[in-house]
Parts: sequence; structure tokens; C-alpha cells
Amino acid sequence: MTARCTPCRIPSAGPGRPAVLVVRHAPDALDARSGADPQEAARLVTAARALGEVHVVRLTGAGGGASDDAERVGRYGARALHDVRVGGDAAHPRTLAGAGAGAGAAAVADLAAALGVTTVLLGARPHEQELAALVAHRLGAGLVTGAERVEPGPDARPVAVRRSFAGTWAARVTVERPRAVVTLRTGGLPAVPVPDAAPAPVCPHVAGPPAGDRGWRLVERAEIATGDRPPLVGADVVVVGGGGTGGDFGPVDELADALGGAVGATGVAVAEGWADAATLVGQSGVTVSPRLYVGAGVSGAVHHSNGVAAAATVVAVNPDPQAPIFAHAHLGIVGDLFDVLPQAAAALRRLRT
Amino acid sequence: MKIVVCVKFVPDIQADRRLGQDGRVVRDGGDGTLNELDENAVEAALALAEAAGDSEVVALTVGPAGAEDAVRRALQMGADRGVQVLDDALAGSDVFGTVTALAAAVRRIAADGPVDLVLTGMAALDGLTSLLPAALAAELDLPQLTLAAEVAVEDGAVRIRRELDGASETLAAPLPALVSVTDQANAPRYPNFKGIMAARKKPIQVLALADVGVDPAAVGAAGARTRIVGSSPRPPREDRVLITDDGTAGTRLAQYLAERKLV
Repeated sequence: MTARCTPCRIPSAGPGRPAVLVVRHAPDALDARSGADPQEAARLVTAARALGEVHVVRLTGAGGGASDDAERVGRYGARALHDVRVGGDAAHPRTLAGAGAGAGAAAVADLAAALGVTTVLLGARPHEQELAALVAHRLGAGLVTGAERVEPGPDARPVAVRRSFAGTWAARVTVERPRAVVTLRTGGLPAVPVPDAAPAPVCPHVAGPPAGDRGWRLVERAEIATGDRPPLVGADVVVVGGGGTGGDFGPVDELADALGGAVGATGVAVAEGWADAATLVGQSGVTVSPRLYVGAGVSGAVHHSNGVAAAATVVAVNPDPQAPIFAHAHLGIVGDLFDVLPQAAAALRRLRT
Repeated sequence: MKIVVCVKFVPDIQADRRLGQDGRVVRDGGDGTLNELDENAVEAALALAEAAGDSEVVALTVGPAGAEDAVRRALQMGADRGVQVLDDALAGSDVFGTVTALAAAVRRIAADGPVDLVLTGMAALDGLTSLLPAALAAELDLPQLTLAAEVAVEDGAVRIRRELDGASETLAAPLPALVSVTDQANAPRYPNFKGIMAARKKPIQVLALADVGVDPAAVGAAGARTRIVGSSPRPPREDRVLITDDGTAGTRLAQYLAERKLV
């Protein structure tokens, strides 16, 4: 018998095709500011299609959530959009942080079980990694994090490919449990619409009150102003300044603006007080998976490289030809960033006009 | 206040690493050490204990014989005592196996007095399993406050600040709770001679799985939920272009991006 969604009776999948759940989980404030985020939903749904019939779960707090709409996910082949409303924090309704994450995980796990899905796919941002761990714990599922791609396995379960050791090794990982939870770094992945797409039917769900809520709560959330530039998370283009800037981020900002990209910084630049801690890219800060990463005056210490391993194209500018960053670079330029970046920015502005 | 801080022994991050036939990490050369991100967790535990007074800091590890070094380092920094879960059946544990053993050990430590706070680093530098804090909190049914750049305890509640996703968040929870700290949280103290000498007299309790009531089949390679079925070193980028600036590199960079439709 085919599993069906309880409220809407949408069958989970057709014969011989497993069901796959794509989970969208983001504070809406983030989503509203980041034009790249809907693109991530498209990439996730495209990747999930290779594994089976795709159901998208949209987790929303009391005041909103991930802004994927039915038309958009339908265009990429989603079978249904499950709109799960989580109680959230009354004082801070615009976020799923705090106890809302636990309730969200419970709702996702319940839906995964009801639909009989074999794979739950999420993005790989910190909020999503935590949600993935909670969902996998509830489902007793195998968990693979930060995968660079997923493929159908010999049975209904996926094979995930992930990199280790700052991207120097690639491992193929299978799960030893009936279900898999995989977080995917989507930056290098394609978003391919399906022909004859129709909007996905929307199925509303209401998650129960947060269980085990013992006052775990968000006290305060302040957006960090990024001016006219896109935020780092979800940015398509990221230009990072490191120790080689000597504290002058002018050329880094200029190139980022010419590319319409976000500005990031390495641990050295943050430690020196040249850049805000919120702009830290790497293991201790933001993990990025942009289409283009430009590292300027960045040596490529392993803590930083781990955070950029998923970038689709890596460009590095550094005066030291032995800098480790060049091992990761598609285009490496041995040179002075104060010469190279302004010249590149000027040339890009000319291309635009 | 009783604080358990989880530490892990990892190879020197600069040493060569590879994945063996069985998919496990093989460490070639280089000295092992306390996972450097865990030093921030130890420092946070010590600072919170000093601020609260009348506190105990227990350094806990799950791992092979060499893992004792990670606990010893925590004791040198100032932790009061160590607990190591040591059992051959633990070899090959994934994050959930490790979490099962850690959670059982925390419950055992709580048997002689409740644990107020469980602290971890943000990730292990070798396997990068940053999921451990979230999974451990779920297993222990504790509120989780992760990726703290600041942490403070006041009036029976813990409060953290974290910066992620373009926002600064302050989260709070009543104790007991689990907190993971980042390397932005503090500057770990370096053990001084007195600390090193004092650590020699501090006890490290070694427990087998049976001592903490864990079924060996639930952990280790036997209980692992994922399996590495193939691994290979990634070849150097074949399409790599390395140029030296001759005064036109900026323009060539712009052309490179335009050709690849990245502008």
C-alpha cells in the first residue's frame, strides 16, 4: 500500500520510486535578505530528484520561515510542499531558534515516518546541521553531513560523497539504517527545472507545542548590517580578505562590489580586528558554498580551507607561490592583491557597461 | 557547580592524514594532541567554575589508550579529574556511537551528584563532526546552546551569544544544559609548571562499556550507522591555472570570470 500524507492524502511516491524529503529551515529574516536562498531550494530539489519522488517540508515559525513557494519548488519537480507551522517563541516569532528547533525536528521526523521516506536532505548551514542531527537522532537514521553530492545507491537508499581533510580526500558513504539524513553543500550543484512543471500542491501541517521545552529560548537576535552587499551565507560570490591585506580591505570590498558578492575574512583578519567576527569564513565561522570564491592575501590554513571546500570555482591571489591555498585554486595568481584586485574590478566594471 | 567537559584526542592537524581501506582515519606521523578546539571548551569550563566557586570540572573522553593524553592536558590546564571510556568495542564508532558512550558516562558521573553543565568544543578537527554537540544534547535530553562565542552562568541559567548567518543571537536555558563553544570564545590558558606537576596527582578513572551500561553492539564499527564504501585522494585540479602577475593579472582574472559566466 502506498504511504500517504495524513492531512492531504497525497501519495508519498509512485510504484518503485522511494520518497525523499527536502527540508527547508531558515529564519525568515535571513531568507528575505538572501536572493540566493530560493536557488538553494532549487538545487536541493534537483539533487533529490535523482533519488526519488520529492516532498519539500517548509518549516515556519509563528511569523514566517523559509520562503520557498509552491510554484518555485514545483518548477523543479517537487511532488508536494508540506507547510509545517511550528509554535515558535512568542517573544521572537520570526525565528525557529530555541525550542522551536526541537519541535521542528520532531515534526520532520514524524512526516518522514508517515511518508515512508528513505532519505531526508537538508542544506549544510549551522541551523540545518543541528536540525539534521536532531532528526537523525529521532529517526535512528544514518547521518552524513556536508556531502558534496548524493547518488542513488543499489537499493532505495543514497550514496553520499563527501570530502575530508580540507578537501584532499573524497569518500563514498552509505547508511546502515533504513533511512538516511544527508546535509548537502549546494554551491557547486545545478538547479534544473523539469519540463511541464506545475505548482506543487501545498499541504498545511501544525506541529505540536515544543516538547521538552525547559525554557531554552532566544533572548535576542540582531541582524548584522552588511550594507548593500549580500550576506555571506547563501552568497553566490564571496571575496575573502586575509592576513595579506594588512588590514586594508579596500581592494577586497571593491572587487566584491564589482562582482555583486559578499565580503568575508579569515581568522587572521578577524583576530587582528580588521574585520567583524561575523564575517569569519571557515571552520570557526561561516561555511560557504558559493559559485565563486576569491581569496585575497589568504594563505589557506586548514581551518579556513575546510570552510570553502565546497566552492564551485576557487580563485586565489597571494604573493607566495607556495601558499597552500593554491592547491585548492582553479585560478591561482602569484601577485600583490593591491595591484591585481583593483585592476580586475575595473575590468569587470568595463564589462558591465 | 559540576561541569563535564568532553575532550577528544586527535592527531596533529598539520600531520598527513588519509582514509584506510576500512574507511577509518589513518594517522601517519605527527604527535597526537588534545583537539585544539576542545581547549576552548576546557578554558570555558575552568573560567565558569572559577566564577561560580565551589565547583568541579570533570574532563571526559571516549577513545583509545592514547586518548588519555587529551584528558591529561585538560588536567594540566586545571580540570579536577578525568574519566576515560576505554573499550576495544568502541573502535570505528560514528558520531552516534560516540554520543551513546559519552551520554552513558555523563549519567555515570551524575550518579554521585548532578551535572549542571556539559561543555564541548565546536567540532573535532579530524573528522569535523560538528554534529556531536547537538546529538549529545538530544541523547541526554538537555537544552542545547551551540557555537557560543561567549558563555556565562547566572542564577541557575546559562546564557550564550553566538554569531552566525549574519546575525548575533543571545540564547538562554536553565541548567542543566549543554553548551558548545567556538574558538572565538576565549584564549585557552597554557599549563604552567605548577599545573603540570599538580596534574600528575589528579585521578583519571578508566571505565569499560560494561561499567557505564552500554551494549558493545550499539557502538563501534558494529553499531555504526554509516559506512565508507570507497575513498580516494582527490587528484590535483587538472584544470588548475597558475599565473604570475606581469602587470595584467587583474585583467586576466576578469576575463577568466567572464569566460566562465561568473560575472
